[in-house]
Amino acid sequence: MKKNRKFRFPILLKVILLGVITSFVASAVSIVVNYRNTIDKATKELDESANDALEFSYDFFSSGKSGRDKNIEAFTYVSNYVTKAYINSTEMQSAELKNYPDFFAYEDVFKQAVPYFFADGMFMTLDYPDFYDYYLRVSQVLFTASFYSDQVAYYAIKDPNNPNRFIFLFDSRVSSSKGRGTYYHCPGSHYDIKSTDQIIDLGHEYIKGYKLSKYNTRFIEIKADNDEGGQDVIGYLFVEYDTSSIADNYRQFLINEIIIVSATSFAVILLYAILSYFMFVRNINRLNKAALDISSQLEENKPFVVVEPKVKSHDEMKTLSDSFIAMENQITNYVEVIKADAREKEKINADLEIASKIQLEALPDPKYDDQNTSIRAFMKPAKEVGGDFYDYFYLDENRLAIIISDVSGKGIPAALFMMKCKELTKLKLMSGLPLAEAVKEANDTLNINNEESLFVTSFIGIIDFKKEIINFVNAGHEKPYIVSKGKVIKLEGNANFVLGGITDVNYVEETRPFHKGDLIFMFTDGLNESINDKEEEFSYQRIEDTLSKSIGASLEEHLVNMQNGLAEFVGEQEPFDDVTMMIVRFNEQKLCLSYDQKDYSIIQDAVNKFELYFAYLETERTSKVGIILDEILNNLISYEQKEDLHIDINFSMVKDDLQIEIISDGNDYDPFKNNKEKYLKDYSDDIEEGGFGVTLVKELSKECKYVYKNGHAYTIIKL
Amino acid sequence: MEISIKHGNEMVIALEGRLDTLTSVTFTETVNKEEIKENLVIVDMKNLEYISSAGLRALLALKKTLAANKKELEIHNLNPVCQEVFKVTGFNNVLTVK
Repeated sequence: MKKNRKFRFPILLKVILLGVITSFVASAVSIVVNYRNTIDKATKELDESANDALEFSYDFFSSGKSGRDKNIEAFTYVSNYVTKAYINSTEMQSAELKNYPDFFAYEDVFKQAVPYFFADGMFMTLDYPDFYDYYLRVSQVLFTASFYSDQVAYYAIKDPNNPNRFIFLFDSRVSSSKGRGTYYHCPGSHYDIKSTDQIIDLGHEYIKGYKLSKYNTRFIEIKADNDEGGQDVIGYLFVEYDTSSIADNYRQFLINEIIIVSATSFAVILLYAILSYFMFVRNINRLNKAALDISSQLEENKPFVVVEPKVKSHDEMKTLSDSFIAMENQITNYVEVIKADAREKEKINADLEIASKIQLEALPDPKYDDQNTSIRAFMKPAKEVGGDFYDYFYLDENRLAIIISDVSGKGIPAALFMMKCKELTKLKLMSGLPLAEAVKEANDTLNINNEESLFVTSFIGIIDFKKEIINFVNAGHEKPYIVSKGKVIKLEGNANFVLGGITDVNYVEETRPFHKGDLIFMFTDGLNESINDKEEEFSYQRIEDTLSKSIGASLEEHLVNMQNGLAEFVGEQEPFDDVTMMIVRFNEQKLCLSYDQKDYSIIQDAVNKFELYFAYLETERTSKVGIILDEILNNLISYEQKEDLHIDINFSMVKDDLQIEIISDGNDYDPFKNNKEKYLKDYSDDIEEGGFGVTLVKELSKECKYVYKNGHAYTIIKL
Repeated sequence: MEISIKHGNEMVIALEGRLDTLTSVTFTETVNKEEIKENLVIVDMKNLEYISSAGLRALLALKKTLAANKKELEIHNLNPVCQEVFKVTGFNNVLTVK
């Protein structure tokens, strides 16, 4: 585990983040919900204040009989005055506001056309008192409209020549003039009614709405009695207000609001985080630190020491911390237990190793040679101790018992049972009973107290070297092979019941010929039943094939070929069973070698083959044979002229003597006659180095002679 | 055959296996390659199985080379067969056997 005390997202950061996110979402929701309402409400308030302004100004306009009449007279006068002047002034008619971007330039034109007329009356001349009176009345009404609301108020008339055009005459003097209205301030300036502008019925007695392109407007019609007894509209009293800026204003307000809310939230969250730290995050960190300390202890293989997290609160963290400490204490105990277990296991392993050694030592040498027989065995337990065993021993000077067995199960119980089996079988066979009876008695004894129900399959054979036969009982075991005169024969026979299974079983003993030079190959099911990765078994067939290929080879080679064949077959598959093999040869005591090449390497080959075949001979004699072969073959190869020299070498036991015949089809040359024995008495610089070969052959052998007959040279040596 | 050579106060040639027709050639070649600075050469035959006349010839040749350079040759740890070989050829009279 990588030690990491720095977290990308520590808990405290998460607490803060959580606070920020929730407060942001909450304020965002409340803002969105309120946004529309607030704007709607503000718009409505403006609408109503416009109505109020007109109501008040109309009330003012209409207050008192004489006041009303005077006002109508004033408005009529102003309207007529301007209309008349306007109509008469060609200059004014043709003047378009757009041609007078300068507000005052336009005003100058108007002043020339309509003398004494000023928009806001600031420079109103007193030379014309009637007009001044009228003007004051009009402007008072407008003033009232402006006063009651923060609106722009206008007095306008319809262009007598163009009913789709308003001409503005006056505005209120207290206009807040927020960038609107200036355009219309100028008396005489006009507004052409566009197709998109329309009168909106507000459901009011006399207040009407006019939707000009940019602004919301309200107006009342100023009417005067005409001569026909009806009423004419002489002018319009407008109030104009802008609702588009409401959203802008409110947005600004919201930005301020958000800044304030955010700052406040942040402060609250900070407080929350600080309190969180002291109230529980600190304890989580303490617990975390303890856990990390423990893990680094384990990583660094230090002795386990209990680390107590310093949690002092009285909440869930405290119980968590207590549980943690309890767990640690338990780990301490477990560590002790595990250590003890490991020691125990180590001891058991050591015991197992000893057991395995004892078991192997109980088996006879895997290599045995005497003049009758040569034996080679191989055993590879799948576990430390196995249930397989092999055994061989002489019952008398001519009879050799050979046994191979496989105990059911593995490990110690199988090994113990195997030891019992081995000793019991040997005891019964040595007691002199006939083979079948000895096996029957061994079986009955094995069945006593066999509560584990272990059993053993066994092949028990007795080779009689004098009668040249093999007696055997096969108690449920793999069938061995006999290799005789170049043929591989499976030793089929009666399938007897296993040993240790049930008591009072009669075993059938069988006999087969077993001649000099024959060999018997025995094995356990670990060999034929070994499987490869395709779940195929090594099988009898492969054993038979391998034996066929090994004909003529030494016993060692037989076993090596079988092991290699098996290893190649199973590949990387884990061995599931013990593999045990034993091969026993009835020694012919005769070895014939034949060579067609004249090469020094045949010396080595002949010596090696001899040593393997006659391995039971004493070392000293074997060494002497090596020297003699070296001398004679060296002579033959060195001095013989014939290129395609054929050499036969026969070894045979004649009673206790080994006889070596070396036969070549070369020249008739008697080495013993033509060479003097050479013996050194003193050292001198000119001693001849060679010539000791014949001396050695003569001295090391018991008898040596040379004969030439039928075109062949015979050198015969006994030792 | 295995030949192992150690240099020191004396040069020790340890032999293992058989010193016969084939291997004595190897022996002679191997020893001839060595630069012999020591005054004493020991042939240790503790692990030698046997020696044939070809081996005796190689030892005698080595003895001659060393004697010409005023150096000594000793043969150590002969097994019974080798002892017999030395005895019947008189090599124990010619070589220092220990």
